[in-house]
Amino acid sequence: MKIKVMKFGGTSVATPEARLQSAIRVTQAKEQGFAPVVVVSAIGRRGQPYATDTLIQILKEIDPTVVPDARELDLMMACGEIFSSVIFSHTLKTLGHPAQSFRGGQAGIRTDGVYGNARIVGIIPTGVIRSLEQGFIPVVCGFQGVYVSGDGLPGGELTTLGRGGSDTTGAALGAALGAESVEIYTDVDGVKTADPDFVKQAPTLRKVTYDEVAEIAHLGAKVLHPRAAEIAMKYHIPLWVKNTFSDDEGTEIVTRERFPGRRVTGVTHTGKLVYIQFDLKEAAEEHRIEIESRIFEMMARYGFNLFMMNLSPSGLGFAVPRSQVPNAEDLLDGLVMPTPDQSATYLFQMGAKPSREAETQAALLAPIRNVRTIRLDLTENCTMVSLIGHEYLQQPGVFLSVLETLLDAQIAVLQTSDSDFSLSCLVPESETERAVRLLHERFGLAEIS
Amino acid sequence: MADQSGTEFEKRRGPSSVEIRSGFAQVHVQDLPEPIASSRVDVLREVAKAGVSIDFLKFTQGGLSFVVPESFASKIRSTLDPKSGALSVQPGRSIVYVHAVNMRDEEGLNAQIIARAITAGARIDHLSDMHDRALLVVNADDAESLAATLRRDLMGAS
Repeated sequence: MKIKVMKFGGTSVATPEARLQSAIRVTQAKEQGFAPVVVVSAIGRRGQPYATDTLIQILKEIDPTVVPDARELDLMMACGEIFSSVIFSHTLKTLGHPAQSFRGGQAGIRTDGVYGNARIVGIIPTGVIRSLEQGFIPVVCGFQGVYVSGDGLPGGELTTLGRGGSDTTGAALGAALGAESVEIYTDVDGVKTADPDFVKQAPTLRKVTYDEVAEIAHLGAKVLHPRAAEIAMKYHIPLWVKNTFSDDEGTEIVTRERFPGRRVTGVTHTGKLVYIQFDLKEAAEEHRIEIESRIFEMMARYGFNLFMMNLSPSGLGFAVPRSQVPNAEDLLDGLVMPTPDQSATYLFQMGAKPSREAETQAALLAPIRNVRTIRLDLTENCTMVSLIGHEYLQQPGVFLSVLETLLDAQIAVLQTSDSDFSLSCLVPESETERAVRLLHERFGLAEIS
Repeated sequence: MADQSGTEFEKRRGPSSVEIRSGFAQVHVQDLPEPIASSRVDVLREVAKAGVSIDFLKFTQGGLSFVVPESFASKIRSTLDPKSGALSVQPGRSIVYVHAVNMRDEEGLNAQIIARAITAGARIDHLSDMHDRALLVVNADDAESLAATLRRDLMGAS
């Protein structure tokens, strides 16, 4: 049996016409001799009736001040894919192809026990294989699995896989079933050199390596989730990204043995980030380690996601997701940190002008000797723009070219980060499109394929 | 339900390995003249002209910081000394890498790694992060003990 896993994203199942088009692609694969296994996302995107975000919003609207439990959120969100899989399955039936829908758990997808961001620990695809053997087309809910704790809960607990989880389901099922290939269907022709909303002429990459696509996906390209690329790479599953609505050949994701890669692959952008800088110039040298470690300990304890970290003699800094900024402000503004030897007390103040909180603390601390201020500066509305490539990025002057391009355009770069496959700059969100376009042009990305 | 035990199918959640790479020098240039953005680019232009490849570039208050192969330390000194602000080149540095898949998406993980490294007592000269690793630049003499502490505390290695 030549199994082909075909995953359809939200836009590919959003309307009856889109579902019909997607279903026709499945029947064509069957006619070509493949045994298709379909994975579906929830129907539509934010604002549409059965999209994941819409389902979350229904819970939040009950009382915006009460945060829903992660377990309940997972059950709610999973409804979107269940709804979608049953509709898709029935659409196939109307085309004369019997199909069966499966929840993630029914498809044998076992996860760890982290609601909202579960990881797949194993797949027992017995039900899917039986369905194929009986002549059905299995239609599996993406984005979900089941946690079986061994504590006697019959059926286990439903979990969701986090952002981009349906791609992960597709790749993982492909690996578990020993599929000939996994095809990720979306509404663009494949992996592009940049976000086509920003660079209209961004070419489609015909081949990219697993590590390139993982980097692109990690740093913002929404066309494929990095976990899917990592699973496909680990299990050597041929992976494609294709457009449901066009006959473009799409992008094939391959090993570096098959394709050596390019000097530069693309420009990505990601994140609604806020950059926080701690000015430690007033800190006594003997207190630096204590202050630094306590700042990072607090960030760990309260679950902050830190990006683009930096530590230097003058201070430290990192970016956090915008959604975490209210918590950061609550935690840090007006924070009082006495040193263990009680020789000094440090008062954290956000911004040049102290808030009421910081002012109150300062007044309370007035009788205490040796109070020093640590000032925090927040730069709101930032985005990370990244140049993706291979060894070329490590050559002398490449990072310089990136910075010169942005400086010449008077785009402020707040911080940088780099890896073997990427050079990233934190820029004002308002400059994202311009930064992407300029770097795309500077590195000749319109010419590659 | 809080089982976050290691996954078999996908890559393991949390730190998966700690690795040391040696033979680096850490370069820090500070007190650069305003406008700082173009001063930083001027420094990098001199470094590129000298044919030196840099890693882990970070902007600091009033300057910038990066890592080069140790063999380029003297070249950096001669290239930048007369033209730049206050220059510090520290050879004998090692980079301790902590690998963890999707670490920026794991709440508090990056911060936990850095906090543990700082309290382990090694002076961290420079740090950076990517989506799958955090790196800490330390004196080469401290690298082994720091790596052992991180393996023990973050990965449960004995």
